Amino acid sequence: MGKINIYHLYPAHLNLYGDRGNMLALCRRAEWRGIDVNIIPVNPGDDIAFSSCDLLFMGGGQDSDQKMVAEDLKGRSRDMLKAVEENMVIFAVCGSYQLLGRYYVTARGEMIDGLDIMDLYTESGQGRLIGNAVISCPLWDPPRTLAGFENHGGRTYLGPNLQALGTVSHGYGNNGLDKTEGAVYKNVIGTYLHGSLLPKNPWLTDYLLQKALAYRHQDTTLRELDDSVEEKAHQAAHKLAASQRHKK
Amino acid sequence: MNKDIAVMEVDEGAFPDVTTNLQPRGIVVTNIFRDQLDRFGEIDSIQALIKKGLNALPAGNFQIINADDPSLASLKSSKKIKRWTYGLEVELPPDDFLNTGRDIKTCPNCSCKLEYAKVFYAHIGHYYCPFCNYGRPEPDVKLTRQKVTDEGITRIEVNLPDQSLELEVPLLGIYNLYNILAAVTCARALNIPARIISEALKKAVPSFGRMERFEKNNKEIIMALIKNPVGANEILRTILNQPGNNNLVIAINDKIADGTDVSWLWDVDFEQLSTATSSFSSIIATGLRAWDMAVRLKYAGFEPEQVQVEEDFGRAVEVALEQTAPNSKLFIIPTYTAMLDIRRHLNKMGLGSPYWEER
Repeated sequence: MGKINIYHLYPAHLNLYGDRGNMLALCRRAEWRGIDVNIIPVNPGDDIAFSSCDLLFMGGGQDSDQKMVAEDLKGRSRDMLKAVEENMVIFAVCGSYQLLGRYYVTARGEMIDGLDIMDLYTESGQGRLIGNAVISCPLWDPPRTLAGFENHGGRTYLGPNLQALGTVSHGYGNNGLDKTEGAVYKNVIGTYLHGSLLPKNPWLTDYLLQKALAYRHQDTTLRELDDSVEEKAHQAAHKLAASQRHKK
Repeated sequence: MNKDIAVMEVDEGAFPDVTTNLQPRGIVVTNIFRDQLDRFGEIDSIQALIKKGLNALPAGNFQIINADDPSLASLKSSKKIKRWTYGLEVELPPDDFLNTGRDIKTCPNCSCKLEYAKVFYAHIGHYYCPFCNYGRPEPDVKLTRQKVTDEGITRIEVNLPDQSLELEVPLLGIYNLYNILAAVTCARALNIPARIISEALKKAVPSFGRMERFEKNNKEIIMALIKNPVGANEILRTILNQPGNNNLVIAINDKIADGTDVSWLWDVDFEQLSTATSSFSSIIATGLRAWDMAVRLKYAGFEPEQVQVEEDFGRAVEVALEQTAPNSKLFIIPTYTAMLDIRRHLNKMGLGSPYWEER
């Protein structure tokens, strides 16, 4: 059976909004298919062996943590970009998603350099964008919905050639203006959605697992699972996002 | 009303305005946890709100701060305010869930990683920064001994600057040790005599939804509010220690008062339910987010058929009670608004009285 090495970036610092749920979803859904998962936690200052990493997971952090992480990652951005060009998988949520871009301007006006892996930038805006969100995601044909929760002060703007992860049906998305949410570049997915995102959008979890298997030229067939509980949670979250009941 | 003192629990968001307008005699700040995140963003902004509120306190009054929370010790008022601190100085069994819910990890001064000589739970303990001189202040009021009797009474020794008190309180849990210390410190700041402090603590009852007890047909119902990973882990740890063939209802709402973001459920160690040797004979998930809860339990290691979903609260409680054997316990762990709804159902069944009629 297959084998996937998941590198979990800074688990102690980037874990703001239930990111543990995303890791659990990746691991369980691989295990249920008999795929071996090896989790390698990466702490600040640790070496990252990009040559053995199949999937890099980066969670959300607070401004203060993010700055520390940005500095720590700076020295590795070339190796990281090289792996990305070769189709390594990255899944980045919230603060980490912002870090993948060109730069991020904090609420205090401080400019933090990003890793320049995706052509996007982020600026702090007036007030936070908070609430349930649903997007329509064209990674599948026909597109599938992703349901989650967003909570971000930064507004992210995508470059002209960068594909969004989806189109906002309910919620704010990248910046509250252009109806885009998240970004996809090769096998890198960045998003503001947590909730946790992967457990109740199991098709996205399976998409990431398949891309990670394909990256090492392994068999990408995933046995069908009974996802009725996950689908009910997805539908309930979708309905709640549409209900507007949290809106003032 | 003919009373001397009003005690108010104030939401962080309203805190600066409330302090400015009410000009209270004193302020008690207990801790900062992440359950407020979906309303206020990040912990840094919650801290800023608290600081603003403390600065609105009139000179000559007092503030009381938990010395064991690293995010609070740096909060000092600019004016002439008497500052009291309190903290635990006891040995407690180690916290097994260090990685869940440690919301504050870095030194507020220099952003280096904080080190701990002792961790009581989450980020609460004896912390110090290895690089700058930031650290836990020596508390003015210390809890130096604690012992729980077989009857569920906590016996403690509290050291004040000028005397030592032996106290008895019918409350359980580490978080309640901090609540007791905050209350004793506040009473001391108000010059309330030791005799009155001691008598009042003996009469303390679990507040609304904090391990409240009801009884129906020889079945005991125990309801304990959950609202953040740290508190929920402590509650799970406490109820898993209860002997017998018990049942569990987990009730999750996501209204404003509950916190609209349910991702915190993933930081609760529900794995301890599936790995415990004496687990529950049935588990029911209910509430607006019942299905999120069911998914959480599935990924914690339960088979889908081990968890029933009953979105309706009344139905969930009825089914759970039917499944509970006489002389067994039914634990209900709801979020805040779920608790209000469940209470209403319990009242309809003739259990308890509506909360506005109590006390």
